[in-house]
Amino acid sequence: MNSETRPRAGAFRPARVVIVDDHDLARAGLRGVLAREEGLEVVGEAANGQEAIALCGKLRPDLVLMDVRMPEMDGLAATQAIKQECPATSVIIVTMYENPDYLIQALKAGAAGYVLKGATRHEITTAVRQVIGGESPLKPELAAQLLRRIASTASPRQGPPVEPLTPREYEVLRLLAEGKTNSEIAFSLSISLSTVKFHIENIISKLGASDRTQAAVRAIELGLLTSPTQ
Amino acid sequence: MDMIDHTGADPAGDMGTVVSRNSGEGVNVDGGDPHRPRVTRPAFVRYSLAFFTSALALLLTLLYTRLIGTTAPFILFFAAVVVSSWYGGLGPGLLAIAIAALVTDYFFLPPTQSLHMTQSSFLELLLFLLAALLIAWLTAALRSAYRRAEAAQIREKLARAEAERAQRRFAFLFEASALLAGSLDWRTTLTSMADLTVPEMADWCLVDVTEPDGAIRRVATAKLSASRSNQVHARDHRYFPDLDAPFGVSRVMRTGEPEIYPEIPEPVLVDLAHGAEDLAVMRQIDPKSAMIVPLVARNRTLGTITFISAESGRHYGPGDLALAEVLTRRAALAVDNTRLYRELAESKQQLQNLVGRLLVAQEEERRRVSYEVHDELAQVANAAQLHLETYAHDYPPGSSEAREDLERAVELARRTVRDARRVVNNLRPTTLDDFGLAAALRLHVEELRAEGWQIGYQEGLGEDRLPPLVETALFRVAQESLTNVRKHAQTTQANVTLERRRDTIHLEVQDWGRGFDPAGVREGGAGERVGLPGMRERIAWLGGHCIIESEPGGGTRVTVEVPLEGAIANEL
Repeated sequence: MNSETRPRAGAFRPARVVIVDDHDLARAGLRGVLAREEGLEVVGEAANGQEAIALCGKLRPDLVLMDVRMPEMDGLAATQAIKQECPATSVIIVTMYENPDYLIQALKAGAAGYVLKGATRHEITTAVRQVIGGESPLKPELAAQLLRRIASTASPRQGPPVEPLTPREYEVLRLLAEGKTNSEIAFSLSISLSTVKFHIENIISKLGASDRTQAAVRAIELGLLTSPTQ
Repeated sequence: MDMIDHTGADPAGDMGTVVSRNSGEGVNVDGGDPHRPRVTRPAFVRYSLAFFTSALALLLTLLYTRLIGTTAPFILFFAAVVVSSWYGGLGPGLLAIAIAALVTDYFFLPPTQSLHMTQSSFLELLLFLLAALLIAWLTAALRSAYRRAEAAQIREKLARAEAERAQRRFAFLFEASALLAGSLDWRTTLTSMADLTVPEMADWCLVDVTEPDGAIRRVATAKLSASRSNQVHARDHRYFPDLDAPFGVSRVMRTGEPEIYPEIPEPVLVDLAHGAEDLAVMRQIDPKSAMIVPLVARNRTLGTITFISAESGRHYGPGDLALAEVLTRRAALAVDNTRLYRELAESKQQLQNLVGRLLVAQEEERRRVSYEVHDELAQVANAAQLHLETYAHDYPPGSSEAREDLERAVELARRTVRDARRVVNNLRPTTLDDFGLAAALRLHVEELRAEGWQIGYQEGLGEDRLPPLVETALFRVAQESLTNVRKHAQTTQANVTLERRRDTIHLEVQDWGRGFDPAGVREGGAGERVGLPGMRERIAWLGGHCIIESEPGGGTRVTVEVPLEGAIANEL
């Protein structure tokens, strides 16, 4: 499923980031923030959805910071297309609104999370690092609420075959989809934090997802959480 | 005799009037003339009758006395007296008696051939005179009674005819009124009007109206189906009136005074026609009598109705003109009403369109400003904030004062982004465009909850998006209602219900605040609540209705229903 051979970004190499926004000033602002961060590398910029798709196809970045409202093609449609082509690329939506309706749309399109326009430098870099590090950038309650609503509306469909998960991974997945943090999962299952991280890496990889949020969304879409027999 | 004359003269006079009216209105009493009784004869005829009957009686008496001798010389004179007083009255009866007395005395009473008489003859003559006087008086009285009875019979017949005519006229006017009240198009009204008058009032009926430019246009014609001529200026024949016309349609239009022509001699016909072509047509119609009555409403002459009698040969009189005027006045009122109604409907429609365009324009403007703020102002403020933060990262401030200054600048930029977000949300929430009414309202309610409101939200719209105009209108009404709660109700307890009932969208916003007196905030009332009429207009434009219920201390409930059908029709 995951055709990417390149190792996940982390200690060994910087995460490669693409910034998509129709506004020059906004792109420059984000670039200023991210370029100075240790372990991050801004590899490209695009001014609309079409450009973003082309650029991501070429660069295969680890992460895309995606504006929503853009001419030509909006951020959500672009996100969907990018996830089709590069499932390992995570997308963070940069949005004006914290409205759950928008966030659900974003998650369904394949986003790992969002940052609000007007977020501080710290908030932005934290969200980016969380996504790259396999953690959720969403607040646990919000993540749980959004995933519940996705689960209630999405009719489970037969997805591509997945590498079967171990029972332990199922337990971790279930807690993950409830919006639990790594330490909460470690506490619930009485395992170490590093073990949780290891399981989550495996789950993300086995589900062909790019990040923690999309692993939960994918699990919901595949009906993995509704059928306990799996 | 006087009495007979008098009683007899009145019905005869009535009869004359009736007969002439009959010919005008086509109401047949009984054909008139043949049975008309002769009640007065000249005195000369009546007295001559007495003389001749007496002479005849003398001759016959002379004859039969020659044949059978004298027995009863008075018998035949009684007959003469009876005939004279029956046909001539009391006077001729007395004359017959006098003649009888003289001639019997002379010819039959001894001594004959002389006016001298014996005592027995005198007695005999006296008895005859007494009996004859009695007979003459009785006969005259009988005759008088007979004539009175006859006159009463005629009067009754006339009264019945009058009643029938009144009934027909009433029925006619009733029908006309119903017809005039029924139509909302003035051309239809006038055409029906023309059709109605034929054959009841006329053989031809022509309706002309004045146009704004002063021209006269024929808008309706009606004629007997069996009419000789087919040529009458059809609808929409148009000409300019002759301002000097001594009479005819032009003059009636100008003066507003009706005209009646009991007869139409050739010179009048020539004057009545406007132009040679019209004259030729008029000759073909061959009118016998005509009336031209103005259509006057609110002191304005809208046109004329011309009633023409041709084939029927009737001649119009004052009674016909009165009826025609009543009818025409009603027609004019009906036409005027339809015009007023149309003007009212048109201006109402224009107003509605204007309101609609205004609302659409307002929404467009809000959307434009909203996106402008979203796409420009917010982005720039956001970029400024990030640049400031990057600057602070690159060149850390040396003093705590400098750091505070920088942090304040960052915070100001952030606040600008937040304000922009709030402005966009108030102007035109993007949620409304992107996710529809239910989501936009839910978001609005959630924002209020975040402020600490106790506000319920029930939503049952289903999956389908509503027409954009309906979404906008209902969102605005809900928003406005909740703003009113915030401003006036002094409560934060409210409930919003939004649901679809068949093809109607139902919205209800209720609060448990202090309420108000709805009568006090009609249009032009307290300026603070300008929102209420605005809400009603918005909803009325979509063919829905908006009910605002409130009472001091009892909270407020705004109920809105909008049909989906009407909204689709208004979709521009």
